[in-house]
Amino acid sequence: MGTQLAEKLSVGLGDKVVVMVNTPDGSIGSDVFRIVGLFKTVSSDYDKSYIYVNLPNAQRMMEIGDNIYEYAIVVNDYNNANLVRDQIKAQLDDRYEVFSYVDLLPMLVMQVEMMDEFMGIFYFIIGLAMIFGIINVMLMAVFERIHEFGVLTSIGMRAKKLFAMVITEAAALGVLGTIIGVILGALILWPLSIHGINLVDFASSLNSVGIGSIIYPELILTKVIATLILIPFMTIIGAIYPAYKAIKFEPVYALRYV
Amino acid sequence: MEIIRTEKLEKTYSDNGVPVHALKGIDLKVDKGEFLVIAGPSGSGKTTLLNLLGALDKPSEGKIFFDNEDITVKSRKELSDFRLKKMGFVFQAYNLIPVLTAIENIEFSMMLLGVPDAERKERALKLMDELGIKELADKRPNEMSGGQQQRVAVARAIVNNPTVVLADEPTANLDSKTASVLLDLMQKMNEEKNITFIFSSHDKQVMERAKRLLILKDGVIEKK
Repeated sequence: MGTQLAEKLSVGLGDKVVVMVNTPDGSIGSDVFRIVGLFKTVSSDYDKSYIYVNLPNAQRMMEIGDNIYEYAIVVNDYNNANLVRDQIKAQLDDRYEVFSYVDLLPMLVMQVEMMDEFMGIFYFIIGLAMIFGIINVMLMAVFERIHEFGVLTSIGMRAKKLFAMVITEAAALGVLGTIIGVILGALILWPLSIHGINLVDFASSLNSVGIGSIIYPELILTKVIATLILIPFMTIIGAIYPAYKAIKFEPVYALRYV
Repeated sequence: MEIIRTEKLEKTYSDNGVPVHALKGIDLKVDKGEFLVIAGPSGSGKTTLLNLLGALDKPSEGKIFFDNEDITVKSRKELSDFRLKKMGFVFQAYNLIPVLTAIENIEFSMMLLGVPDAERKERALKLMDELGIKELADKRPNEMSGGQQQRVAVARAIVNNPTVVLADEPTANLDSKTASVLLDLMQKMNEEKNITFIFSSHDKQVMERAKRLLILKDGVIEKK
């Protein structure tokens, strides 16, 4: 029995409880059970509402003989739920209905999709903030070097080359920074992925939404690769305006700039 | 042979909305191989004139002819190429690139011209040897004295065999002995390579070396 349900009913290990159910023919079936174990999951909702009984006992209580009316299958990756549903469906005849959580819980699907969209917006805002950060850093780097750019242009460096130089420097910074960042991130994440992040202080609120109090972060290769490509690319985008500013200085003004 | 000619050259700055006439109709002719010094008190317009001759700035009025070609009508790109191929600059504050070694600073303008790596190195070392600064090759500007930096700057200015070298107060930050060594060097390059040198300076030592001396005062040539 779920711990919270046991708490609610003021029962504990070894106590007897009467369970009543609706049988398939509409009558009420009931039985007496002794509590032999209590469970606690990451979901408080689950702990408040579920009990486990042996299959023969359940079948007897529901007066259904040896029949089984419903199977629930847990898949390793929720993204494969529909695939597994189709595979099972293909092997059964029309007497059976097979549903995935997508069919049964459209609200949950909508929530997951919404979450993905929110994450998309979240990433977009972070990306935007990062671009402005890069523009800021690059602008500072450019303004610190106006005099140097003045020297370069005065000895004959073309604006196009100066522009390319600033962009190349930014790209090098972006690539190097991303590689260092990914390595550092992986080094931090690796022990956490084994031991988890302990959020036991927030357990009750996390459990109410079905999240465990220990979170195990995961390094996803596709996201690492996306980061390795995206960040240097964003660095280059962020360096365009500073590079443009760099080539706009007149040599004589830039030379006077200290 | 005339290499530079200016016609009614004027430059007016705006100082908080108040027009300041830095140059007031300069007519100047410079021949190839000259060792010309433009002297005058601070604020007389020496640096402004040099900046205009070096195409670092545009005149408000008037024309500048280099090899009979009007450079005031050239585009930014053409002016960059003009500075790279025809001009050499020596600045008062040396203006070497701090992160590059002496030889890399000298090689830099050759690199802009697309000179191959091996040739760049060879030419830079040869010139450094000529100027007696070969031992500075691997030193960065912060590891060199002012005189050494200025000699590297001279090497950078002449390595592409420019027609004219413009030197804006090149001895201003140097003691008289170092300044004398530097001037010897420039004179040698003027005589041996027939490079035209135009100085702006109020250093007596520089003025004494001039083959021709121009005195600029309040934006006009007072004495030729």
